[in-house]
Amino acid sequence: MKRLLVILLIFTLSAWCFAGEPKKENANYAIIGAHGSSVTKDGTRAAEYDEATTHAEGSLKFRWLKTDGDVKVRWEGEVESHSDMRFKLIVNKGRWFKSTTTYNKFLHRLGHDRLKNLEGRESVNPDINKPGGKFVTHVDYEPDLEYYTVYENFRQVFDFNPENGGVFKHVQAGFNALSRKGYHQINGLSHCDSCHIQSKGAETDEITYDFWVKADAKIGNTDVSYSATYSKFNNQAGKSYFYYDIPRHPIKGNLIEELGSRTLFGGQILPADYNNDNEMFENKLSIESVITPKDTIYAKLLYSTQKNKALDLQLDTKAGSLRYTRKFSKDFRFDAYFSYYTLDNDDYYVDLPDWRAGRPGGGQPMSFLRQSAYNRDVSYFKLRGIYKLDQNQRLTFIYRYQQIDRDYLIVNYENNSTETTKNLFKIRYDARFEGVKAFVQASYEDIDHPFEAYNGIYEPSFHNYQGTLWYYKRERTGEATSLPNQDFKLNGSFTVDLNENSSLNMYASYRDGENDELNTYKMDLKYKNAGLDYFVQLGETTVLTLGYDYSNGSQTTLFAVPIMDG
Amino acid sequence: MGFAVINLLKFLKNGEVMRRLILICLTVGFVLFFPSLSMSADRGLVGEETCSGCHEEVVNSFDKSFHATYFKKGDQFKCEKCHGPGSKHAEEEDPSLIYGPENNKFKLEKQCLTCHSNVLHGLKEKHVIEFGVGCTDCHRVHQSGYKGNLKMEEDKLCTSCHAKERAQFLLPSHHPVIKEHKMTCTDCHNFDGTEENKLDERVNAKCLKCHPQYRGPFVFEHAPVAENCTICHNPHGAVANNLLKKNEPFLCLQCHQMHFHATLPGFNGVSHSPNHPDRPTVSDRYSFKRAFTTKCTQCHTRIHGTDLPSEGLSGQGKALTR
Repeated sequence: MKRLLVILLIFTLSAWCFAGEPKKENANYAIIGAHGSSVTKDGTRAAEYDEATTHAEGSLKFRWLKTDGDVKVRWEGEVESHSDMRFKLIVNKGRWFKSTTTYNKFLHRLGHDRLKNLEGRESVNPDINKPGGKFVTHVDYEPDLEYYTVYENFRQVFDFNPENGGVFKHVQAGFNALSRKGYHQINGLSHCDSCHIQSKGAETDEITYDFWVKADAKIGNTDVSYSATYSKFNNQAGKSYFYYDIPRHPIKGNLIEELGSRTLFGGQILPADYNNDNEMFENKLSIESVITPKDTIYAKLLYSTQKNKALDLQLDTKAGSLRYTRKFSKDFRFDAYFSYYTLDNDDYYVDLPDWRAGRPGGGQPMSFLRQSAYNRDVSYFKLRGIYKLDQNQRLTFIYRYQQIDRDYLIVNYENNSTETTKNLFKIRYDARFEGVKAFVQASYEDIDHPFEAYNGIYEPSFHNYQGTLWYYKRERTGEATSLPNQDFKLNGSFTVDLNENSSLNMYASYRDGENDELNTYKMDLKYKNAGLDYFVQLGETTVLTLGYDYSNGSQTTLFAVPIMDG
Repeated sequence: MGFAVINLLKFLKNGEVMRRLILICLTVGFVLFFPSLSMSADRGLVGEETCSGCHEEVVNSFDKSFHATYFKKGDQFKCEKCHGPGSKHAEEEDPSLIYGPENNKFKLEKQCLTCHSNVLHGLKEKHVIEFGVGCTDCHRVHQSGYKGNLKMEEDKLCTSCHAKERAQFLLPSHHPVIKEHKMTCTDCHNFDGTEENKLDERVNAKCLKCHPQYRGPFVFEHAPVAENCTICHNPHGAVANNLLKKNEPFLCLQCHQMHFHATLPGFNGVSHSPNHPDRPTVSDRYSFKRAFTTKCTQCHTRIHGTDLPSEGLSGQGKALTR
């Protein structure tokens, strides 16, 4: 209570200071208040972004505008609690300079998994309840710890618009710092001895710095824009460790050498769940040139590198696009667009001991060269025609072809193909009359082998197999995915302005997709959404929304369970 | 071609020709610009004072708006620069005789383009060019209350048309946009034409701006993370936790088979592992089903990728458990 009074006093004084500013403009305001909550049950999930504890705190909201000649200052802020606040300061000097400073802080509550489902012992004969050797156990070392992340974002952007008629029209320099602090739950898994899951809290202390410069220039009829961004992610939290059990027989306590030869570690304290530092550097160039009043060309180039600093692993992205737009007439406009990008992630040699090294029947090499799933070439071609029926109505036609050629990630079990191709057809009608807006859109996409787990399910039977059988050999042969190879979508919206301050919106969407390319089952999905919303603007800062939304989604998928035979 | 240029230069060097050219330019200039000297009378302009007579609040609010910085102090014709000549409207007090957001909005929006001509080539491409959304659908220049002269707060404005997304933001797991106002739509959706002319076609690039801990690149990968974040997540909102499109394990089972231990029958009773007498285990018939068909990420915690190998050698350390 004392704390609340102190906070209220501070905020009252702050508000009085703001209220003391000359009221030349009535948009200045300061609002003080207090809010509190009484939480009797676990509110973790219901209040993901609030402190779900019984508490009371003061709050402040203000805006202050000042104009002095061609200098305009705008300062606004909102303080809800010590972990929930935002401020913004904008300073304009005529048209040529603008400084924008923002600070935003909020809390994200994370769940605490009690792991209580992870407990059991196998029965080798359930009819007589005979206990077996397999155990699942769990331990939560910090059962009362609350997990959360506090996001803090500071951003400073300087914009310059030179007025001297030079080549440069706009130059921007910016800095952004995003920090994530708090605690999160980490789990460690040991198996062989018993399936043993341990859990505890780990500190979150990560910060990402972004620096960028951007320059826009105009040379004749050509706009040129270049930007360079450097981004650095630092994990400042210390590493967290778990003791991983010694691999051994869960009942007899023996077979340490045998089970140790099938695992990478055991009987050791090792780090777990840790993000290494990374950095990114990106260069972007875009050119827009008006060739004639009817013809425009756009071109873009991008090169970026993304690096895992601890391991010197690097992912390079190179991209380019070209677009041509022609206005055939006042009512018809046509675009042709081509884009290409390639991702190239370094290979990484994962050095592992041999399978059951030194054991009878063992010695198979397990080391491998990790070839990344990122590596791919993606090209994209799109045609778009927009036809204005009249001033109020337009029709849009789109055809898009996309090809994803992955280097290593297989998406077709039958021929080990790594390629996906997509053909999209879309038609859209838009209407905008005085007081009425509406659209209807239909699209159909035909996809040849969308992303899938090409060996996601189904292990073949090894009952007649005579050689040494071990888990690595039991490769799965069934394709599974959540993505359709034929996808139909229909949606529309109708909005009518009832008067200057209120409107009524109705919308509906329907999606019907299926995948009949899989060698296992036919995947089918359907989504239906519809809603009716009424908006009324009660004041400058108050909007009342009343609505009803309906959503229904269904998807058929295969529940594949292998039979444990060892 | 070169010959023609040389001849033209010689022709212009002739003093008499130059004098005539200057005279012609002066005459044309005078004819063109003379009307502007008396434009207020000829073009039906009435000036700000007349506007204030009926719309005092609107005129005052304009002075606080960002657009006011583009006019010289004391400019009497600010209102009519956008709303068109007001003499007839002032005389007859008929709203249809002026360009306003409720009346003649198409004419009003044409006035916007006199300064914002770049809207037509590039900026706001998808909304303006493809969908035909008009300036006044989103902007109102007299208010200074909202970023970018929007009619209302950004999230409310966007979701007044994108109602499906508004509904998703109200689901149990969501990005803090509609209810909490910690984020805005434009934090993810670049409203500057790059939605159309985009190079960062991988949706992941957007997500990783605020979730850089998943940038990696990692030694041990999970293929859909490389492919597209939206295979597993619905960024606007979801019923399942962590913006997942479906609850675990059903999300994972779309691409994977169930863990092979899940089919083991459980022992009914309490027991102690001989190796760990301090770990009593309460078990029943369905213990293994419960343990292995509830939440895959209890063990496979590093589902977005990791640099640390998992314990099992048979899986070559790829199990994403550490």
